[in-house]
Amino acid sequence: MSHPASEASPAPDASTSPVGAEGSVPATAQDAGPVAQPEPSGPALLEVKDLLVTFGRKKAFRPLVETRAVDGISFNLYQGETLGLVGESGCGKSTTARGVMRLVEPKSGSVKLNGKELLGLPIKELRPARKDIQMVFQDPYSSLDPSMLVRESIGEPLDVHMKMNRQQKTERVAELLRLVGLPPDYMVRYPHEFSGGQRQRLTIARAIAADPKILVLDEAVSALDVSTQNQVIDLLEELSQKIGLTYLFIAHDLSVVRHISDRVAVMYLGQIVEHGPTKAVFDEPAHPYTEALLSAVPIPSPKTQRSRERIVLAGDPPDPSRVPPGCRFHTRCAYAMDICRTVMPQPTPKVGGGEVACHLHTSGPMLQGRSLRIISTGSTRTIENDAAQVVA
Amino acid sequence: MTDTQKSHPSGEDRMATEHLRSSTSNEIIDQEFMGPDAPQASGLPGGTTAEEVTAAVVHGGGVWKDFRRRVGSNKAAVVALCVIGFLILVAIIGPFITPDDPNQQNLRAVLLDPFTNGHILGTDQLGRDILSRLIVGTRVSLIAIAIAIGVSMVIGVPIGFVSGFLGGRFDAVVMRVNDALMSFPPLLLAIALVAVLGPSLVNAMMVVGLLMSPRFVRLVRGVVIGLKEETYVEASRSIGTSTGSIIVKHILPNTLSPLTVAVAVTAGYAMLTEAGLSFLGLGVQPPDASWGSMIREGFLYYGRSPWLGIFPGIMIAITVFTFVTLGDGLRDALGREERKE
Amino acid sequence: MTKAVSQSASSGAVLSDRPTLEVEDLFVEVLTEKGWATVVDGVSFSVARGETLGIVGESGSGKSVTCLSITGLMPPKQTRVRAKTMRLKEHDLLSLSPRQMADVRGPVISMIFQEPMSSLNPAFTVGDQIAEVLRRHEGLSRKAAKERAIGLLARVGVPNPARRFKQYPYEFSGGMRQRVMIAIALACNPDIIIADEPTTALDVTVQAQVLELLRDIQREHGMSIIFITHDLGVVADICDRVVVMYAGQIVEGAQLDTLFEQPEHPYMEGLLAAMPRMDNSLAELVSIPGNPPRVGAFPEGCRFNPRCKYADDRCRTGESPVLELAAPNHTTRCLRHDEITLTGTT
Repeated sequence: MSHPASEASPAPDASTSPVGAEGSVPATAQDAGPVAQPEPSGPALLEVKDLLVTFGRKKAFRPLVETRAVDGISFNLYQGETLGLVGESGCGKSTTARGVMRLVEPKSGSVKLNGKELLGLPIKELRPARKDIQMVFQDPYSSLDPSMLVRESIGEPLDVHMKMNRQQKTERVAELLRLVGLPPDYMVRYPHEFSGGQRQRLTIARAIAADPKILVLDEAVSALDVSTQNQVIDLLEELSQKIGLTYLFIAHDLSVVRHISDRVAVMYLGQIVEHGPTKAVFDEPAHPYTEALLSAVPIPSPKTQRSRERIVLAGDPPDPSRVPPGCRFHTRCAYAMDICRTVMPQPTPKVGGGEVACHLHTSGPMLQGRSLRIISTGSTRTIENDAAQVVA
Repeated sequence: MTDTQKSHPSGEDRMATEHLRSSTSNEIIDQEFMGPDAPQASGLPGGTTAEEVTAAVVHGGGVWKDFRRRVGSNKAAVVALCVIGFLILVAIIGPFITPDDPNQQNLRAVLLDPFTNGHILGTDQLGRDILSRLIVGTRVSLIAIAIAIGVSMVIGVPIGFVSGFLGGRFDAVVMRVNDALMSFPPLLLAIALVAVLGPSLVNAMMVVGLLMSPRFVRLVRGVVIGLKEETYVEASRSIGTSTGSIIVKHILPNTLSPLTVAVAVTAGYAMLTEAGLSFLGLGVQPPDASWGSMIREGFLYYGRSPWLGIFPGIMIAITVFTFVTLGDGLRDALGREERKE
Repeated sequence: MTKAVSQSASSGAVLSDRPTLEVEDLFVEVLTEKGWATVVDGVSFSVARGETLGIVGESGSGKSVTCLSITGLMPPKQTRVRAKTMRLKEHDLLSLSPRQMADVRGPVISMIFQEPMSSLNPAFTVGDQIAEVLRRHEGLSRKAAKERAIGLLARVGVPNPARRFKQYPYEFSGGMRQRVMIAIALACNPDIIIADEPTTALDVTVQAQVLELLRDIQREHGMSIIFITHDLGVVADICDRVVVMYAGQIVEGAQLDTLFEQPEHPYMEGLLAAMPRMDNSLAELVSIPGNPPRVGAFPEGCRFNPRCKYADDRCRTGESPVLELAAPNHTTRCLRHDEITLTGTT
């Protein structure tokens, strides 16, 4: 909250991004991180660069099989904004969160919080440094210790970071409960007495207990019913205004992400394929995967849903332990060219801000930053591709 | 609101809540649904009132209360608990209430049938009162169980805990040793070890405890590995809680319930093993009585006086059955965490 | 709760022939810790041939229980099911023995569940599980069943069906497993398929594939589908007609477009406003306050009244309101539907 850059940053609404014009200057900031303009200017609150997280299992007499769950991801998170990280299951979005939190140890890369490097920090020094970044998990049922009173659960960060006495703790917990819209007398109950939505409020209360600057929300509303889900989203928006929280919002539900995020990054097989201001990514997807992903989300309006173009991708995402060479999406991509099968595309700035990693925007014959939908025809396309068979 | 909260003394809430709590989750639902303080996302509730905080003290739950209620609703477990309570009582006051001296021989009244000459359950081959010997045998048998379980927990629980928590190579070695121990026929190994150490009840039960410890290693290790994966443990790590605190706060308390179940079930097995060892003459030494040794002593006279074996046999069967029933009941009662809506 | 009006709920689509499935006044009680609790309360609907009926509701609304009761899959000792009518084609489901019911499941009605992993037996190959259904119901020989099963796998878009036939469920991805489930459901050419949240556990791109497949198959075979879901987007995508369930009751039923454009029950209006829409981020997300009531704790009067912004005193007392016709083919359980104007989506 005390971040000096915060005052300068625009209101959390991507549609009004005032610095959008700077997006047309692709040469800037190429080495200052992958993220070009328009982004809130000033130093990032959280700077993630080339994050690599691998899972390996060494079995006797067999070579080490290494899965690069997160393969060189870079993004910045600025004070007061919400960055949505979307992708399908297995794309590495949750692993990214865990890597940032060092719940899994990244193999390489850099995670800077307020300019301070977290990776490689000894655990004793990491703990206080991590106070500013807290996490909310998907499953509200297993996120709370069933044997602990709500007061103890929510007070856990206070014990670790605040060194409060019992009385201060009770007061703070009551305050937190009210902040998340629950009556303070709930503090002497056990988690099993609460519904899913209430539990998620409790875990949010726990996450904000020690006044963090960033909340990492890993599918925090996915397990909830529609009406409950909105209550929690409202709560998050309210909290961001009240106590100036910054969110890294990880979800597979694109509608929710569109609603809550200022900027969005789309992940596929451990890499960010496209990112930019929410409106730009959703209205003008530049990566074929983003396009297909967006078209697959059904819209709760029968007329719109009937009339819109649907792209049905063939096949499943490839196994993360055997990623295809070149562009990882080429096996399911309708636009795949020869170069896509061999050369991995590099992030290129795009019109409207953000970047896209796709050869269509560098060496491709078409596009140059235009929306893909311009070139697509027909109402429902099934993208078939013989390369898909090779990898499967 | 600050002063209202000062008015609630620490530590008292737990007891107060236990007292008042019979609320199940439905109560919250009612509140949520009808109550004035239903959580609404649109507006946050205002300041705390004195009532709210008082309510906080009287309301809420207690794991123990909930646990007692759930055990209480399981009739078999309640009966089992009563039986065990009775056995413990007998073990404590037994020596003072025996109708006769349990070791007093009376060679003129050997192998009496039940209900003769004031011997309710008859006498054995040396004319000792069987009822008295059963009563004093209770203490021996229960002590035997306690030693066995104590030893196996002292060995098994820490090893299992460390093994589960650390994982990796240490875990691999421990588990191999564990498997090796478990693959021995326990009675045979016990016989061998007791033969080396010399026959006595304490020796025998320490050996039994040693042999049963792999069960606890395995159990605790499994539970700890499961708990390590729980989201709330990960959440605690993300908060920055130190490993030591995580163990004390999250892992140990949640290990207790499955451990309680295991103790109850294992007690039954310990009882059986003790009886077996005593039957073979490796446990309690004459003239002291344990149920197992009584069966062995009566063994030669089964043709004539079958009750010599039948009465202690019944006691063993009842005790084992009781412990196992209690274990099952506890398992049901402690299964709360798995209930998800 | 003996109201003649509830019959009108079954008059959805105007179709000349008799509906494939007709359910009237279905009550389901389940045994809870506190005794019997009514979880489905007087539900009536019908499904015409070739029609896709959506059943929408949040968790605990009774939508799954309704369908499990129709297929006779609720645990018998903990469930009491009664209804005025429960007819599936020529079968009176109320009078069938469990054995006869088992004969109906497969050739006449079949189900697809949310969790394809737990619906498949991990110990048998996928092919065996499809072939078993065929052999059980159609008496096919081992060889003929295998051929048909491979054909089915190909039909539901499993690549390399002959090789996949011999593989076990764990070798399939989530989407492929759901295709296998659809193949099993299709095996005996049922007249009606009940799909209980079949795409909820799947990624969006895979969900699109599965929905596309269901649509194709329906076009081909002309079967009816009951599609249970909480996702209004999916409803808009695949259903013809929809009933909305809340707290064990149907609160609204109408043709798809009508329901979305002119909802007649505040709950449906609330749901529509609560759905975040991907094509319109600027629309304010409106929450329905509170939580759905749990079984056994249904409020007096209209069951939605504590969360309803239109509720007045009439809504808060007495029996729960009955289903009434708000318009032709459009039923609602709202007392005030004539007085209030609700907004839908476009």
